[in-house]
Amino acid sequence: MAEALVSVTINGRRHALWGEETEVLLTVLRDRLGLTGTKNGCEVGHCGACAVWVDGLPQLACLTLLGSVADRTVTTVEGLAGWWRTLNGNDAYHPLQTAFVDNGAVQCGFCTPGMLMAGAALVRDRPGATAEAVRESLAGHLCRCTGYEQIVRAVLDVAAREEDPA
Amino acid sequence: MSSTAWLRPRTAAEVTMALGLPGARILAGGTDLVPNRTWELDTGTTWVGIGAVPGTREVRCDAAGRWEVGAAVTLAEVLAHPQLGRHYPLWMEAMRAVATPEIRTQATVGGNLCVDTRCRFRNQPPIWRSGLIPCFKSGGDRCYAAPASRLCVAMLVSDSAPVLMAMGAEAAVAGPFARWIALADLYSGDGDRHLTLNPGEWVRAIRLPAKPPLGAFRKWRPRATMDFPEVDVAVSVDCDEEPRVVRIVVSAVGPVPVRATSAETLLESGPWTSERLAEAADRARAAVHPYDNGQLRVWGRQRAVHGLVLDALRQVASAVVEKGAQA
Amino acid sequence: MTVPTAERITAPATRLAGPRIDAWAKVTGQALYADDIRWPNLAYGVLLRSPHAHARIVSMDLEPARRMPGVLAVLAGPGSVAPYGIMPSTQDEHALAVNKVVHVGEPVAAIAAETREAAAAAARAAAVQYAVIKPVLRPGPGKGQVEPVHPEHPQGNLFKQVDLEFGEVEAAFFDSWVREDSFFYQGNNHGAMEPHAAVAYWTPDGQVEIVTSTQTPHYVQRELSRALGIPAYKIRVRASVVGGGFGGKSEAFGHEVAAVLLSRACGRPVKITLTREEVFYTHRGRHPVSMRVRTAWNPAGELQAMDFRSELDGGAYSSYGIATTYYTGALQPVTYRIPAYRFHGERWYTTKPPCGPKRGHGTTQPRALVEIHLDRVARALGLDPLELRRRNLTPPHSITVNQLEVTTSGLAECLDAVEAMSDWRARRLQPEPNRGLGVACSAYLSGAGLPIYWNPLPHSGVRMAVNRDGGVQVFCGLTDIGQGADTVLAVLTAHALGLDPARIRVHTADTGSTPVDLGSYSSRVTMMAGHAVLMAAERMAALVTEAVAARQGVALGEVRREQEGFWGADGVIAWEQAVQWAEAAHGPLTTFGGYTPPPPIGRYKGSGVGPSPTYSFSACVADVSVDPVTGQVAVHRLWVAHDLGQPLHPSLVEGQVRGGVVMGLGEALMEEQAFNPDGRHRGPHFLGYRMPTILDVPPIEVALVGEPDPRGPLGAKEVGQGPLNPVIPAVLNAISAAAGVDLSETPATPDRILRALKTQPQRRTI
Repeated sequence: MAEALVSVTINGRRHALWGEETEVLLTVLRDRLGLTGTKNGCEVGHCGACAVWVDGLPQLACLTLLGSVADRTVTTVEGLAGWWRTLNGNDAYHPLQTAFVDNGAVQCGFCTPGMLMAGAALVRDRPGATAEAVRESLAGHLCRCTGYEQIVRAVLDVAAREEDPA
Repeated sequence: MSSTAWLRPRTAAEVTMALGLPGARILAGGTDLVPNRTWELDTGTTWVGIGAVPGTREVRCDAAGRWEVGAAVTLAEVLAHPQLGRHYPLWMEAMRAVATPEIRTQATVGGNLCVDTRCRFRNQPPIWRSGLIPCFKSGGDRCYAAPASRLCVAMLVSDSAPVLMAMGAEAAVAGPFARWIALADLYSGDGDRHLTLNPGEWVRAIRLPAKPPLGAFRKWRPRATMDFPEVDVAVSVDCDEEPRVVRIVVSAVGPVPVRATSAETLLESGPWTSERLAEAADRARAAVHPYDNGQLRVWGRQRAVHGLVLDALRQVASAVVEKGAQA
Repeated sequence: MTVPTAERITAPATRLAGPRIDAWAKVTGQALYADDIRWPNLAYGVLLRSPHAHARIVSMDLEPARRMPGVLAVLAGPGSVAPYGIMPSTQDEHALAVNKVVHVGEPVAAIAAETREAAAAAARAAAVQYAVIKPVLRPGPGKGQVEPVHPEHPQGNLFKQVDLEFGEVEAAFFDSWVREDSFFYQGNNHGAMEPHAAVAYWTPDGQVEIVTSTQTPHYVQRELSRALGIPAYKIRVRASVVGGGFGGKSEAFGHEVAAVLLSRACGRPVKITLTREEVFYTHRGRHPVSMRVRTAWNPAGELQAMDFRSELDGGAYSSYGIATTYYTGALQPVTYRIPAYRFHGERWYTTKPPCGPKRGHGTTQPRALVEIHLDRVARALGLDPLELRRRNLTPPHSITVNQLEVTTSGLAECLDAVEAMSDWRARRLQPEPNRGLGVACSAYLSGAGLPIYWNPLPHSGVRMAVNRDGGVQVFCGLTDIGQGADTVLAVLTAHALGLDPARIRVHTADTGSTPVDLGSYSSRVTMMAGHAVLMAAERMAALVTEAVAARQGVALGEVRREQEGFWGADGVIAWEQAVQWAEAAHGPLTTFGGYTPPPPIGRYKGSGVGPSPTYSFSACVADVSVDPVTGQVAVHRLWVAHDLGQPLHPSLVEGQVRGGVVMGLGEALMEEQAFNPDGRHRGPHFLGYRMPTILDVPPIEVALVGEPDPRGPLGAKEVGQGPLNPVIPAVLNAISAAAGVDLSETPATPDRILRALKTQPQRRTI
C-alpha cells in the first residue's frame, strides 16, 4: 500500500515510476534514473547540493518525496539546457551555465548543480536582481571552494542580461 | 528502510481517524520529518498529509479583521502574500529567519509551529546514536542534557512560536473536539511529547490578532542563515490597553517558549528608562535556564538572553516613541 | 597612497588563459565523481563502525548480517595484511579494527550487498559487543587514564616529541624585553562538499582497479600494495573527479581497502560511499593545538629570539602526524627574521578521529598565535602593529636560522597593499565604537622539498605525446581536486608549444597510465608538474623544430614560428605537417619531463620538513564589529594581498585566494571539530559543524603582488594554501581591537566572546 505508480515528467520526459511514495527524489534521480548530476552532499537538507526544480521552483531533492512530484515536472541540471532551448527555440546552453564557465564560478563543481538550479530560477523570476537578492537566494547552498564571489558574479551577469536583452 | 505509508485524507475527520493508526505522523512540508527518517530518528510508519483538507491551504481575513492562515500554507507563500507582510511584519521577520529559501518553499506554517524538538544528544546521525543507551525521547529512561531531569528537555526551535505568542495569536485545533487555543497552550513542557494535543488532534490553522502589538524579534545563532536558533527572543507591547500589555518570550531554551513574567510586570507600568529596561532584561535572564543541548555553549546562551531581550526592548521602546510621535 | 605593484583582481577575471577545461562537464552534470560511477554488476559496500570512542571488542557475531537478504560478502578485521599509513615510519592503521576501537566511527566490519540499503540493513543486524574503556580526550600524560590508546606503543600516548634549537636562544632572553602568550587553536574539518567514495574491482586475474576520490593516487597505490600484500604494479588507482580535498583525501582510507577486499570476496565491483557523518569520523583535519610563544625584543622593536611550544591533539592514528608536528615549528622564521629560535613540539594520541593535513598543514595554528602575539607586543611597545611587522620581515634571498632558503619575498609589498587598500591609518585614527582593524602576515611553501617516503626520484613526471593529428596528449599523475591542476597543465603546454589550448588533452591521476606525480598536497602541483610539463614541452618543441629545419634545409636557429605553425620557404608550414615530418624522422613523438626540488640545505634531524623551492607570502587586514550585547561578530571587509610570483591563470588564482580566505574566516569564527566527554563529536553534520554560508562572507578585496620567482615555472609560486593563514589572526586581532578583550581560543563564536567580555576587563584604547 505504500508503493504506487508515480507519473512524473523529468527533464521533459515522462516517467512512470513504481515505488515507495515516500522515497526521496534524490535517490530516485541518482540511483534509479542515473541522473547523477544532482549531488548528495549531506542527505538531510544542510548543504543545498541536491537542489532541483519542482514545477520550476528550487527544492532540495533529499527532502522531496517521490509521491509529492506525482503529475508534476522535475528539472535537474542535466535538463537545464533543454529547458532553456525549448523556451528559446535555440541550441544554446542556459546562459547561467556559460556564465559559470566564463566567470570562474566552478571549482570542484560539487555544489555547482544546486547553485545553477537556484540561480537559474532567480534570473528567470527576477531579472535585474541585485547582488543582495542573489546572495539571499543562494543562502542555502554551501560552497567550500570559491568563496562565493565568482558565483554571485555569474548570476548577476545573467540577471543583468535577462533584464535588458539588448 | 521500512515501508512508510502516506495517506492524504480529504476531510478533517479523516485526518483525525488516520492519526489513530499505529505510528502515525502528520506530514506537513516534510523538511523535518524526512531528514529525521533518513537519520532513523523517526520511525513512524504512517504519514498523514493534511494539505488536501479544505481550508488548510487558505489565507483569509475574517469580519473582525483577524487573519487566519491554514496550517499547510508554506512559509514562502506567507512571505510572498500581498497583505500579511503589511499587517504582521514581526511574524514575517521570524519567517524569513527560518532555514533557507528552498526549505521555506516546502516548510509550512503548521509544521514550523509543531516542529519536533531538538537536542544535541538526540538529533545526531545514526552511528553517533548507535552506542548510546536511549534517552527519554528515544524510548529510554534518561536525559543526557539534564541528567537530573525526569522529563526530556529537548528544545523547541520554532522561530514562529515565540513571535506568535508575543503577538497573542491562536491556533485552531482540529480533532474530536475542534477548538481554538492560545498559542502558549500548544506546548506541554515535555520535550518528548512537546505538544499538548490529545490523540487525534492536529493544528488546522492559526489566527492572528486584528491589531497586532508592536514588537521585536531576535534570533541568536552562529551563522547569518540556515542555523536553528540557539536562543530566540520575541517582545511585544500593546500601549492601547491600560495597563499596557507587555509580552517577553524567550524560546529555543527548552521544550516550551518561556514568558518572562516578572520582566513583563516591571514594564507594564512606569516609564521605560534604560535602567528599567536593563532590569527587565536581567529578570528575563533569571527566568530562563537553558540546558546544554544546543550547539553553542550553555553559558553563552544563558548570557545571550540578557542582551537579546535588552536589544529587543530598546527597539520596541523606540518604535513606541515613533508611533506616539506619528499619532 | 597607491598600491605599488599590486594588480587588483577586478570582475570578471581576465579570460586570457581560457576557462577551466573541466568547467563544461561540471555545469552540465556530466562530470563523474566517485559516487556517480556505475560499473556493470556493481555491488554496494557499507562499513560497520564503532559507536564508542574507546572500547575493547569482546565479541563479534556477523552471522546475522550474512543471512540478510541481498548480502554478498561480510568481512571482519583486520582486512589489511599489514598495518599501513602514509608515513613509512608510523604505519599504525588497519582497514578494520581487531581487538579494540579507538575512535567513534572506526570501521570494524565491512559488508557488500546488492544495494546500499541492503548492506546498511545487514550492518544493523551484526552483533558486536564492546567493553567500553574511559576515553582519552586530551593530549598529555593523562591522570586517571585506564588504558593508553595504543597499549603496544612504547611511549604511552605520546606519539612524537621533537626539539629544535638554532642560535643563542637563552642569551637572547637573558637581557631583552620578553613577552609570553598562549593560545588554543581548535581542530576543524576540511568540509569538502563531496563525501569520500571509492569503486573497486578485484579482477578475476588478480588485478586491482580502483577509482576513488583522492588527492594522491600514487600514495594510495603504495598503501594499498602494503595493506593488500600484493605488488603495486597490480594495482591501478585512478582519481575520479574530486569534489574538493583540502587535505582530507590525501592518504589511503579503510573504505578504499575494504572496497577492494569486498570485491575480492564477492567477485563483483564494489562501491563504498561515505555519509557526511562518516566523513567527520574519517577526518584527518586540522589538529587542535595548545601553543605557547615567548619572544625577546630589543628596544628598536626587533625580534631577538623566539621560543615556541606546541602540543598537538593527534587523534587515534598517526596519519601525517610527524610532518604536522614539525610544521607547527617550521615556518615561523620564514615570515619574520628570528636570530635565535627554539621549538618544542609534541603530538599525542587521543581517542578521537585522527587528525591530519588540512590546507595550511600545521602552519595555520602557530601562525594564529604568532600574529596575535605580535599585536600584543606592538600594544606593549606602543607601535603600530603594521610597523612592528615591517621591522621584522625575513628579507628576500636569505637563509633562515633553521636553514630554509627564501628566494623572492613580496611580504613587504603585501603589507603595503593591505595597508593602502584598507586605508589602515585613517581607520585606526578614527575608530567607531565596537569596531576594529586587525592585520596578520603569513608564508607558505610552494611544494614540500622532500617526498613522504624517502627516494631520489622525480617528484613529478610528465610524458607528452604528439600525434599525427596535431593534437598533444599530456600524461601526468597529478590530481585535479577542484583547484584546476588539469587546466594549469593544459595552459602551460599550450604556452610552451605555442598552440591553441584546444589541441591539448590531459590525462591525469591514473597510476596505470601516467608517470608519477606525488599528488595534490603541500601546494606542490603547479611548481613541480609545471616544471615537468615545461621540460617535456621544450623537448617536444625541439623535436618538431629540428624536423622542420631538416626538411627546409636551414639551420635550427633560422626556423621561425608563425601562429601555430612555422615559416617555410614556400609559405606557412602547418603544425600538423611539421609534426608528421618529425614523426617520419623519429617515430612516434614522445618526450618526458621531470622535476626534483633543489636539495634542502639543512642537515639536522627534522630538517626535512619546511624546505621548499620557494615560499609564497600573504597579508590580510580585517575590519570587524563586535556586538557587545549579543557577542556576534560582523566582518565588514577583508583585504588580502598575496605574493605568488607570476600568476599563470588569473581566474584559478582568484578562486584559490577567495576560497582560502573564506575557509580561514570559517576557522576564525565558527568551525570546530569538538567532542563531548564520551568522545562523541558535538555535531558530525553541517548544522553542528558550521561552515560559512554566502551570507557570512563579507566583501573581500584581493591584491596580487610580487615578482616572478626564479625557481617557479614561468616564475609562479603557490596560491592554494597561503592566503588562508593570515585571515584567522587578522580576524582575531580585529575582534580584539573591536571588543577590547583578548580571546584565548578559536573559533570566535558569540558564546566565547560573551564569556571573554564577562571575564576580562575591557581595554579602552586601541
